[in-house]
Formats: sequence, C-alpha cells, structure tokens
Amino acid sequence: MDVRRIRILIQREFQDIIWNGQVMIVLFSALLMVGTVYILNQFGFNVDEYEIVFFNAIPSVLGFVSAFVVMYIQGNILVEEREHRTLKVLQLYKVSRAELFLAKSAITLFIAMGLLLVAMIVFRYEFLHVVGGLLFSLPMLFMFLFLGTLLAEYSKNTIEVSLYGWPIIIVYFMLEGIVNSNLNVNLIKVFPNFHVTQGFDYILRGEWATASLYIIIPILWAVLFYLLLKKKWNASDQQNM
Amino acid sequence: MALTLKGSGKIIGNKELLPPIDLTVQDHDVAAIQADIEHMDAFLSLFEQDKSYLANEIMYDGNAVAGQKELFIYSPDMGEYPRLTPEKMVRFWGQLYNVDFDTSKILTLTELTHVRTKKIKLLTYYEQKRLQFARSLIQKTSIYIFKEPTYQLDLQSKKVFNHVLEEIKKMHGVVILLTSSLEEGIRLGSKVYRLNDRGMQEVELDEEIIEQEEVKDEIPNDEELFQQRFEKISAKTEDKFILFDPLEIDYIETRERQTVLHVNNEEFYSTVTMKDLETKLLPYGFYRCHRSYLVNLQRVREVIVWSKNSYSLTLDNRNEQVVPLSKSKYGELKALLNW
Repeated sequence: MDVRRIRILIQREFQDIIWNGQVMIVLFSALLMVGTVYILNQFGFNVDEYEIVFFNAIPSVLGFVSAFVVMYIQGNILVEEREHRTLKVLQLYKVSRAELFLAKSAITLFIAMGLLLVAMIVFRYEFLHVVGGLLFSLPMLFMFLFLGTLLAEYSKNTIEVSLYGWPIIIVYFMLEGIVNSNLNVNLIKVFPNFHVTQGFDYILRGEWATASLYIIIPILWAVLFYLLLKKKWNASDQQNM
Repeated sequence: MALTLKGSGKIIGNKELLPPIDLTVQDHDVAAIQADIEHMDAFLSLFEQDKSYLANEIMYDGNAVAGQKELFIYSPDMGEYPRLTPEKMVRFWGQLYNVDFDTSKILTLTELTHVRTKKIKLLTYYEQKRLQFARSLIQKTSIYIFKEPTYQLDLQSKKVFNHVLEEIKKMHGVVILLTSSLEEGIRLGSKVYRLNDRGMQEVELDEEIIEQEEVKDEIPNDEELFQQRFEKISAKTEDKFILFDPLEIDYIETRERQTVLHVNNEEFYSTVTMKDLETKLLPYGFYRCHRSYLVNLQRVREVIVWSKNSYSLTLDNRNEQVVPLSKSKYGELKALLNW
C-alpha cells in the first residue's frame, strides 16, 4: 500500500467530483433533506391509536446521508472507473484495489461527515454531542460504504448502481418509518435504524455509556457487509487467476 | 537487450486459443504482429495473466519479467476521465508514476496543445486517442505493447503515433504492435509477423530487393508483353470463376500464400500467382509497390510520407484504402509518376 498513490488518487477525484453532475445532485438533495427533516420533524399524523412519524431529527438525516449519499457516491465513483474504462489503466499504474477503495472511501466519508456536521449545526447540537454523534455515525457510514462498494462490484455502470440501489433505500426508509412510529414491532430491533435512533437519544441526554451499547448492532451490520464485500473480492480474484 | 517469449501459448478447455509462440524482439525494434482480434486478445492476455510471469515465459534482457506492471500496454478499450482536461490527465499520470516531465512538450508532441484546458469528453475521438498515446511517453519502461493503435484513426493522429514511436525508439526498450491490418504492420514495424492458428510467421521484408531482381529477370521484354492477348483476371468463388477487367481491380495482395484481388472494397481469391499477375498487369498501369502488393496506379490518390523510412499509398476508392509502399520503391514510383 502506497500512501503517496492514495493521496494522488484523492486529489484527482476531488478535481473530478466537482464537475460530476450526479454527485452534485445527490449533495444538493442531501442539503435540501436536512432542511426538510428539520421542518417535517415537527409534524406527524395519527392512524387509530398509532402515531406515524416519518423523520426523526439527526437519526433520519444520518439514514438519508448513509443510504443515499454514501452508498450512491461510493457506488458511482467506483463504477465510473469501469464505465470510463480507466480501471485497467490504473492497474497498469500499479494501483491496487485496496488503494483505490481507500481513496474513494476517503472522499465519500469526507462528504458524508461534512453533511452530518451541517445537519448537527442546523439541529443546534452542542460541541460534545457533535463529536459523539459523528463517532456514533461511523458504523452506519461504513455499512453503507461497503454496500456502495458491493453495488459497484456487481454493476457495470452508474445506471445499474441506481437500479440496484433503489430497493435498498426504499427498504431502509420503510424500517425508518416503523422505528419512528409507535408501532410495536420487535423485529425492528434487528435492524440498525432502531439502534441509531436510541443511541442518538442517549447521546443528547449525555448518557454515553448507554448510548455506546446501541452502537453494537450497527457495527455488526457493517462487519456483515464487509465480509460480503471481501467474499466478492475473493471471488473476483479467483476468476482473474 | 531483447524481449523473449518462449513457447508461450494459451489453451482453454480443449481449445487452443493461441499456439505456442517463440518470439524475440531486439531493443529499439518494433515488432508488428498482424492477427485477427481473437489471436490478438489471446496474445495480449499472455502479458496480462500472472501465470505467464510465474512460469518465466516472458524474459527481458535474460531476466524474467516480474509482471504486467513492468510493461506499458495500450488498448483501444482503455479510457480517460471525461471531466478532466488533457493537461490535468497528463499530470495525473506523471504523478502516479512519480516522474518529472515537461507537460507542454508531451502535449505538443501529441498535438493537443490547443485543447489542453478543454474537458476530455469534449475532445474528438482522434484527440482522445492521441491523449492515450501520451501515456506511453510518461511511463518509462522497457516493453511497450500497443493493440490496434491506428485503427480508425485520421491521418494526423497516425502521424502523431509515428512521432510517438520515434520517441519511444530513442529510449531503450522494445515495441510490440498488434494490428489487424498488414498494411499498418508493414508501415510501422521494423519486423512484421503474422499470427494465426498455425503460429507466428515472420513476413519477410528485407528480401524485397532480391525479390525485385528475381522478378525483373522473369519479366519479359516490352515487345513480348504486348504480344500477349490478355484481357481478364480470374478469381474463384464457391462454384464459379469471376473474370475481372484489369482496370476494375484496385490492388492485389498476397495473404498467407494466396493472391487476393481487391475490387470495389470486396475481396476475391485468385488462383494466379502474384508474379504472373504482375507480368500480366504491368501494361495496364499496375505497379509492385511492395513485396506483397501490386497496385493499380490509376487508383492512387495520395502518397503519404510517414517518416523517411515509411510510406503508404492511399487509393481513390470509397474506403480510401491504404497500401504500403516499400522504402526502396519510393524513388522509383516518384520517377514513374513524374511528380
């Protein structure tokens, strides 16, 4: 692994990404979403005795940033190397898959963290809560980072990344709706959404020890997607042998 | 110093994709290999697969080549970042390889100075290809492999590629050109090979002069020529012979020991040998421009001078076909056509 090469790849990606229309639309949507969540957070409606709330402050913003921004940007900028037929050239330039993954991930995480920071400022988080919130967000961000990379591995172009990505986003936000409403579904505890919401609640209350317990399930999900990604990489390596 | 391939071949399942190849390319040499796309890909895959290196099948200067990272490979299916400019792209390649070079010089050599700050996606197809050629001037290595570098290129870009080849030849290293066009192979290569199911055979180029003398001995004098009552050239198709008027023929080529007539962008196999055809067609204005080519001079529109050692003839037909012109024949043709 060559740190100099990773730095050069990051520099090039920054020069390129500012002209990338798809990424810019995603970023603009994310900023719009921060404002929308801020407004919609105050509203909900009742069906019989159940209260339905779609968005819940930072946990919902984190869900949007992870599923929409991280997964899409990571998937898109990785698959573009294949779509633009530049991957082969990079391989000839001794760039390894790990170096490329780290360079792309650094860009994606930088954008995601920036958006979360803006959202936390909008939601008037204190400095300590911002730090705690960003650290608590990392497993979720990594989970979708691996998912985005996995999407890029299975896709030939950015259209396929969008095609395969949409079902994941829809399922994630369905779960988000269930978590934020007072429907009593135990199964929801298996998914990271529930834990993220609970964790942020405890962070805001300053109960750090309890909040840290809710990071375990998101970490397990991140590990699961990392293992799936690793499996796919191993399969690709064997195919190329 | 030389690149050596020893007995390298490729078999998948029961199918032999590439017969065993023994090839030696000397330093500063350009080995042009004419092949169909399947053999080209199979040959290139020898350099792209780790097992070729593990089996020590590829040697340079007596040492085993460690892997494809030690080579430069150009293939038409390689791309660039469309939102970057040629200037940024060249700098990026330079930074990746950690080499210092003059960006302006490289852009001038590849004739991209006028578009240096234009986004790559806005460049023409030819400009994008020239940008890819620039890559070969940045990556300093010993083995350069180009797959179909001049396929569907315009004249300007072909000339740029010639300049790039000259620059590479100034440095030490060997160049392998894979091309589907024998004409391009002859034009660009210092040695030309044909690669097919039977293996790799060298196309003899240096025997032109000897061959020319032999042919001269066999050509009857002018009187005898005009005594011949020859009017048609025959070509055999499935169940019939087609008789062509000599002036219908654009050019004639020898390919794998067969004589191929090119008429209106179609190919017909003739049973008559090249030598016999040359004798018969001389009075009709045909000229042996190369050992393997006999061209109808009435069809010649342009004589392209690629370098002091490389010439081609462009024909005045729908596809503007290009026929190689031997170095030794250039002066003779110039005198003959009186230009």
